[in-house]
Amino acid sequence: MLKIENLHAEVGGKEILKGLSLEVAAGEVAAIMGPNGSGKSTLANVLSGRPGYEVTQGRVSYQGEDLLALSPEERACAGVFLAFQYPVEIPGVNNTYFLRAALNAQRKARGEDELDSMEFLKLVREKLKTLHIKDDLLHRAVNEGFSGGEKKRNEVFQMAVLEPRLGILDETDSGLDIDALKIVADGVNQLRGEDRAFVVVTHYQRLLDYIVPDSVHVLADGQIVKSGDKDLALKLESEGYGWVARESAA
Amino acid sequence: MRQRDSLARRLIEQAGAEVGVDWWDSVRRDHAQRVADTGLPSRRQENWRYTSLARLDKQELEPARNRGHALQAEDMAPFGIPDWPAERMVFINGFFVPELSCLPDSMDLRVTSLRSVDDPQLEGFRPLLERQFQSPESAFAALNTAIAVDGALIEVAAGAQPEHPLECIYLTLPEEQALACHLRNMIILGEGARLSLMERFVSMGEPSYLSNCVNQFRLSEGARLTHVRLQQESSAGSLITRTDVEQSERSHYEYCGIDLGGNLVRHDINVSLEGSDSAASVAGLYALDGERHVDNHVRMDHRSRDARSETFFKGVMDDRSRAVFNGKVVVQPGADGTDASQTNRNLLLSRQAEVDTKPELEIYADDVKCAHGATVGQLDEDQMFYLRSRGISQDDARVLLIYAFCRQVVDRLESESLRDYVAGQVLGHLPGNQEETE
Repeated sequence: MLKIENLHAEVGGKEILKGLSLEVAAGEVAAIMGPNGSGKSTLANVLSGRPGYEVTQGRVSYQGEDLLALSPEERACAGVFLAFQYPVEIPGVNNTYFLRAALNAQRKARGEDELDSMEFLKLVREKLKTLHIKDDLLHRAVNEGFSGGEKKRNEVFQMAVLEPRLGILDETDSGLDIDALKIVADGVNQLRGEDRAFVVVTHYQRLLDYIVPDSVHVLADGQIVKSGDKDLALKLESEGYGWVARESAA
Repeated sequence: MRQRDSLARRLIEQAGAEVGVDWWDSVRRDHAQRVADTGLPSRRQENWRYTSLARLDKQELEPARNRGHALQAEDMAPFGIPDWPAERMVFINGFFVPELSCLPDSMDLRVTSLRSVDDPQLEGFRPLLERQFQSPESAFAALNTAIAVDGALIEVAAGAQPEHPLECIYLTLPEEQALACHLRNMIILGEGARLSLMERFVSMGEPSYLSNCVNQFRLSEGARLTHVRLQQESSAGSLITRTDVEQSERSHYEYCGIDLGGNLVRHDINVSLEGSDSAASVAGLYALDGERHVDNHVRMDHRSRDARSETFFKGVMDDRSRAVFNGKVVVQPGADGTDASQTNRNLLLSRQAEVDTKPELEIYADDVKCAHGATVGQLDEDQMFYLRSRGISQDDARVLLIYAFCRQVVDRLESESLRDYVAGQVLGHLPGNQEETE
């Protein structure tokens, strides 16, 4: 589903990704772990097309298409979803209005009928129920005055409504208590399926107790230096990242 | 002599006919002389520093005359506001048009036009009409006094609360010659009276003109005036307006002004908080494109104890448009307990757009609470990306964010029908979201 080859990317003239390669198959949940500053968030932002992240070399193909040639909204319409590490507050834009505009933009791009407000409301109420999220979130402005946990819940809620093909979670677990963490994990687990893939970027192994990954990749200094199964995450948790760096240097 | 000063002289000369009421004619002559002496304002005056009147020089203006019109009632239909019943005064090219208007039939709410009243009935309004506009910066108000023969005269009896709002529609139709229209509106609210006033500046076609209007509002003790202004003048039309509000004890004035149109627009709002415990809230939104120039000047004069005022303006400028905001809070000696705030927030959408914002405080009392702030910024990149990352196109995301910025002003409108209507007008006008007309 996702194939990254020799990806080099710069932020503000500084090279952060230095030849990253990674393949994620349909149905797979891939965890990207690594120390701070290794390029995890850069990878997530490059994949979603954030302005300011410049790809200088390499290719990313998504469902056989050149992902890097698409604008952020085209990527979203093609099924790419980024759960932000720091979701931005947008005062004055109602959360429900925003999400309906987003869903309908995606449906339109796929040649599907747009949902009217009644149909949409029915859909979001179902999603809120299955995720155990309170519906007061519908009436508020996008992330405005939300606590850290509420913002992350809103990300997962959006993901549940938009049902992406490729979900990218950028340290969605950071700063969450265990209840919020379970909601995030539920959101991913409910969407897991043969035709979907997830890239879960995280610093800690904790989230992976709830979202059990199919593969674990260690990112260090802009490259994937080690890949393994879920046991690799456990080893990283108990022994730290030091040994991976030493091993790859050797 | 500058071309512009000869314009003022010429307008006065051409309009010149006497009204036949001695005291009124004398006031008119005095002000005509004043305008002749001082000329129209120039950028050398601090209050006009950021607004040049050069655009007026290009127009061959002549005074509007009451020539009649060919409109039928159904021609006014496009200006209707759904589910918002109102009394209506229609003015066309500067003159009241009774047959298109719908006036209340009540002793509590007296609505007439300046031109239709005889002198004795003018009695209550005489002090307002005799108001002296002496400073050179007030030259347009002086010109208005010298020329205006029509306008709305409204009196709400003590304790009265009319059921419906009063809507004044100022409509400009194309004429062979560019017209200079002068309207003088005067509103007196008795003790505890309430009125909701909606002013709309509209045109058909894209006529070129100058409207120079003066509003004078007098609020007695405990009175409350809600004043909404929706300005959608022609792109070739210029509008100079001045609103003077005098407030007695415990009176409330609430203003919400929306500027969407016009070529050169200037509005001076002067609120005089003369009675203790009075309150004024003046909010505005300007959403500008093309080469529009819109200047809002607000002066809050705290002249008594424990009065509250709020000035809150937001603006969005695209293309080569230009906005000016000047807010001044003056706290006079003895006006202790004053609570005043002043905010101006601006969004610049193009490199060629410009805003000059100047919040000012002048405080001569000790026990006061005053806050002010102004910001100028651009659309937030992170917000843009967030919306786009969910599938919303760049253009739609832009409109969504600009509209959200504007909502804070529009949401102040109390009536839901009016709010929906105004919100729709703002949304339809936003850059990238304009519907093609004809």
